[in-house]
Amino acid sequence: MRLIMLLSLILLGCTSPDGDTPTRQQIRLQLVADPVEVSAYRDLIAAFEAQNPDIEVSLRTIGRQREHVTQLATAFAGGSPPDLFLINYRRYGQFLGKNLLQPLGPAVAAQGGFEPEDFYPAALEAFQYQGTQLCLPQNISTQVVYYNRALFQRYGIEEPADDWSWKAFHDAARALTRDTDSDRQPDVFGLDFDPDLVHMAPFVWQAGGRIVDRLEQPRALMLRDYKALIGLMYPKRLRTEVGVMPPLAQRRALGPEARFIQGRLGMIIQSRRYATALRSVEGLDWDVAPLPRNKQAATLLHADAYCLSRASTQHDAAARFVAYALSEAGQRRLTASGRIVPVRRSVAQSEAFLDPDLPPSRAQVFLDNIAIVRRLPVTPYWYELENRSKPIIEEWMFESMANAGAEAQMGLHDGNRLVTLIDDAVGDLFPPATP
Amino acid sequence: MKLIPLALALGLLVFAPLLMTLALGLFSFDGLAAPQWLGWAAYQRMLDDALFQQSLRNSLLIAALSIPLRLLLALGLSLLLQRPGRASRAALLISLLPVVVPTLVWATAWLWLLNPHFGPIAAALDSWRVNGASWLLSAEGARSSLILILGVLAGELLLILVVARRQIPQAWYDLAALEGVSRLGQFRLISLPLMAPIIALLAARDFAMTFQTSFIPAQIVTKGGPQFMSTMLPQYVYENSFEYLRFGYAATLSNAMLAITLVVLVPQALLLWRWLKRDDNPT
Repeated sequence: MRLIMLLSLILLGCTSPDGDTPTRQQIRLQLVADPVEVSAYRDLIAAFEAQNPDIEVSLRTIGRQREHVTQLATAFAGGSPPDLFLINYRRYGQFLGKNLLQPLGPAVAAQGGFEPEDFYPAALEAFQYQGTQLCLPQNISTQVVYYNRALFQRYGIEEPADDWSWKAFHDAARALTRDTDSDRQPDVFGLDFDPDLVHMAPFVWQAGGRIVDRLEQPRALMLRDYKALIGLMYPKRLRTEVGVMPPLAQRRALGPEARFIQGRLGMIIQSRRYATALRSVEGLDWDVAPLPRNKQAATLLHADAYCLSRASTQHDAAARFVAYALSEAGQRRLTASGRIVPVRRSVAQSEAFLDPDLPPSRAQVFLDNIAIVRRLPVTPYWYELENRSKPIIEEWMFESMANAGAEAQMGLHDGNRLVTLIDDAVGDLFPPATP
Repeated sequence: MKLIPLALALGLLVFAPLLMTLALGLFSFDGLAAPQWLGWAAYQRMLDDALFQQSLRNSLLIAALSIPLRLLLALGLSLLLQRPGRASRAALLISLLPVVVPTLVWATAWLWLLNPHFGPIAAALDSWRVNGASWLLSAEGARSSLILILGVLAGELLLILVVARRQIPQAWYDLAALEGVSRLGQFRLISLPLMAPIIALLAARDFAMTFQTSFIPAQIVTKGGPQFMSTMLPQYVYENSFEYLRFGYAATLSNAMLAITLVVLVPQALLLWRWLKRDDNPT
């Protein structure tokens, strides 16, 4: 009897005085963000919690994409994944087909927060799996050229046109590369970007080539094709023959993003997320232009989506949060940070995104890019393929011509050498062909 | 009875995981679906894996060169700092600092030292007409840097060797000096033979540690490059398990790493044991 009374007292002590305060549901959200982005997400969460006092969103931010994927992988393997996470479509392939993700499209549609026609289909398609909208994209960024407008004006170079060619790109990069202290070494470079498969892909497409044999379940890379080789060789020639990119040692000491912010780089190829950092730099006059075109115009899709863990016990609460994040109000909040190209058409085409008072003034470029956007495959091994090929492409791109030997001087042979190196490093990742 | 807690801890924390890893090495397992039996095919796959071969070569080379460097450094300093005193204590403390700071911090400091643009080592190499800016971009430069970074981590060894040296009675050195034995002779005839078992033990322990665990400098300073030429085997195990969810294959690699460690350490242990036995039973 005493025990029952004691338990009753403990239970009474655990309840509030009025006895009917609901317990808050807690959902854990994991994403990659820099400090500026973190404040934008916190703002989004605060607005959501104000409207939904019964739900608490616990935000876990990771500094780098690679650690984000590693932590997700181990959390899934350990059986305690976050309820929700934001991930790029190129990195979520390894979580597919293993019954780890709860389809978020139907869950958010049930909350009345998802009408497919309100969103850009290119981003939606990247997150569809076996006919289901598995994850829901929050943005539809693409690769663009960020350029230092002040440098263009100082050196009397015409700003990039909306349909500029490889030749115009080459000329601008060359004219921007300057030796400002007469030591016969460039101090301002015309161009830089991370030379990996992600940044080389648009050049391959612009030359009319392909990256893989087919987008769904690819069986091989198609980089040895003549057109693909032309695409791979174009930036390499800009580096070696024209000398518009910093040498590797200088890149290791000062990365392209930091160099651009310091005003010592004319152009850099990046996605929308870089705009957030640039907006916080005072005195930097910059804008964006589309990637140059050759045989055709092409750029790469950079889209991140919210995914819901099947192991989560808070499916409804998580779906409510995503419904809010993708709503007109939620998208406007995140758009204000400069971080995203909103996937909701109405917000993307509104002043919230195209605000002429906030850089970049040519934000319309991101929306025009949607018509020419392409994507890379979504497969379990694509993430590893990118990681393995990255150092190979970087070292090929920046190797000393003396080290590279005579082959490197021979145009497409040099491209073939790169493709052999990549094939050797990643060939075992593709599933064996079935008869 | 007193040993039961120790036996339990060893069983739970060492032998149980060891047995599980040995078994897991025969499966394909991503931590998400049920393991699939591969058997010895798992090891065949490992032998065919060019990245495994490369990282094994790198790890063996870096261990083979960094451990003697570290031991020589520690031994030399221990002889210099053998006399107790303020200067000796201060020098010991300074040499211990790199060991007590996290390896991540140590590696980051080296990243600055080796920075091709403003790092003092790159500047020094440039002044010796070696291209310091490209130092980390060559396989030899990247590996040499890792050997140097790991080789100068001698603080703990130094402490042990200083204590070992101080255990040797000073009277033996005085007697040898009276007999006209030079300082070098004293080292060869007294210090080295008496400290040799400890040096051998430290060499064996350092091999296991360097070969199996010390990959943070490679991860931070060279990122395994250029073209995987400084990727170390534990780094490759880490990537396979935690980045690509190949826990089964990572276990296969770990088992191979353990086997190689044993192949190197068992002969050393046998030699040491015979040596000690001979000293215990002088003829």
